[in-house]
Amino acid sequence: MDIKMNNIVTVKNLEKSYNTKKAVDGINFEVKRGEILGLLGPNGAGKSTTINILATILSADKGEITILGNNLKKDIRLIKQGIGVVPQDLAIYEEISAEKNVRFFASLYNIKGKQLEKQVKEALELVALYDKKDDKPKTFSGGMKRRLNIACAIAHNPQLIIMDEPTVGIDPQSRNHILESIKILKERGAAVIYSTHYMEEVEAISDKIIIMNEGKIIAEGTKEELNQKVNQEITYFFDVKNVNKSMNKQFYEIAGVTKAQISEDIVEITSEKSYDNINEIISVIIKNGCKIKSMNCKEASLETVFLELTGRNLRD
Amino acid sequence: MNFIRIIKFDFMNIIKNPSLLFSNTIFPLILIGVMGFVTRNSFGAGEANSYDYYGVNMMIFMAMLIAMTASNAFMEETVKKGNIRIVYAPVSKIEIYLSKLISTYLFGTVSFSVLLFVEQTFFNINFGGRNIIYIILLINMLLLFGCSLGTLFCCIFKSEEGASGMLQIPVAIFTVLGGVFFNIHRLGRIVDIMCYLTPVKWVQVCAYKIIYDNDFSIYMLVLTILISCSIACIIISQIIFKPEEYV
Repeated sequence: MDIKMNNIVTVKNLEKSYNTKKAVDGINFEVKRGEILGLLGPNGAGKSTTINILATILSADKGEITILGNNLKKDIRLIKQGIGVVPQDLAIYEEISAEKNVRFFASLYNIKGKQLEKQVKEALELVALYDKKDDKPKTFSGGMKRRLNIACAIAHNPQLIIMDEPTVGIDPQSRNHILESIKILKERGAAVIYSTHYMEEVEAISDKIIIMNEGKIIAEGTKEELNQKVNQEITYFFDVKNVNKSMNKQFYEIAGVTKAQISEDIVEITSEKSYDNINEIISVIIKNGCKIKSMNCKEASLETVFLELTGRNLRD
Repeated sequence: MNFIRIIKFDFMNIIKNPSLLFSNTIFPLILIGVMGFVTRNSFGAGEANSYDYYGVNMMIFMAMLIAMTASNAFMEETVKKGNIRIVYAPVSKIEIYLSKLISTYLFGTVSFSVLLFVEQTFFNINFGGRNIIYIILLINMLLLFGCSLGTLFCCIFKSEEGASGMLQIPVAIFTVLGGVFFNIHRLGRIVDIMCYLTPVKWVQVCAYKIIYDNDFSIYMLVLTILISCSIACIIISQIIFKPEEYV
């Protein structure tokens, strides 16, 4: 299956309800070839429903979905042939070797003979499990099982890879390995839809981020674009000697400053980003007889953006 | 092609499961031996001894219990994990549950056919002499019904625990009413009529007619009923089974 078009996934007005509750409420998005789409949202946001619809195991109530140039309602088998799914729960056989697992699942996509052997080897190498190919997954660590779960999903070289929380409960080393593997898949031209609770993972690998809440897309864009949408402020932290707490009022006289907080040896000033007032803030500190030992600043993270948009923490 | 590949894979999974292998090969022999030995004095010097009687009855009982093997092949926790990925592969809904049903049926067919042959040849249990082939086919149709019933219960209850737990009820009713362990038709006319509501009884009566009277009068009828019941179970499975619930 080799399509020329750039859009791997196009979703228009997708809706899905369970009884009277709308799980997905009229969402639209696109995923392009070689693009990683990070799907963020708290529990019940509609991420898993969206992913299950794209993975063809759940039918939509309304909307039009095109995957790899095929209509989801009409060409399910063709679509299944071109996608790889990494479900949140491990979908591997524990009692047979890692290689037999990958070979069996890849063979379901009509890959045979030497080509099958080659792709099985490549998949196991990508997740760094080739040297463990003869071992049974029941002897693997949690991280290794997760990596095998990915190998089983990618051995047939899918053009779209759908990953639902692929790094849940694993060690940092395995997590880094998985994230690196995803970047390699992207470089090879695959489109990836990556759903997770871990903000830092989305920040690290995603080209585009969609934030979902209560079945709707509430924000969409690159990490920078999302930050810009809500992140209008910057906070400066000064580590100072000889703190003079009475200077607090003077900070509020500086244009743009929205918050000033002074503790034992830390002065924390929050200002609107559009004001160039750092020199004035520093001169207030110095004028009041304080000595600046060090300074740093912090812009709002994606976590803050998420909190701002949904009013909920990501792991709520 | 995927269908055959999955059946083959499921078949191997059953063979690699020691408890399933034991319960469908060695266990029926032990059961016949124990029941035959315990009741040996209750049988006169007639045509059939206790081993002949329990040979037929225990094979029917074990054939009915294949429903448990089917639910294990479909939903047993370690197998189910891997099966989830088959749902995402280019495999149709019917192929998913039918592969489990057929792999269990093939396994049952092989093991029970060999068992019947071995029991008659080496243990002198009477399965009709040359008519054994008809008894094998009869038991195979009961196996098909058992597999279909096991698959249907998996589709309804969505877990091995739920399916196996609930399967015990119809299997127990069928075997008790069928008089597999002891005859209950002497308990009155109503009980006697109820006995004939179970497929186990039909198979039992049909088997004895073939073995001892060379009478095939109800043979085709029983086969037709067993096949019809199996098809009914498969049709209901097709309606009920939702791959997303399997995931």
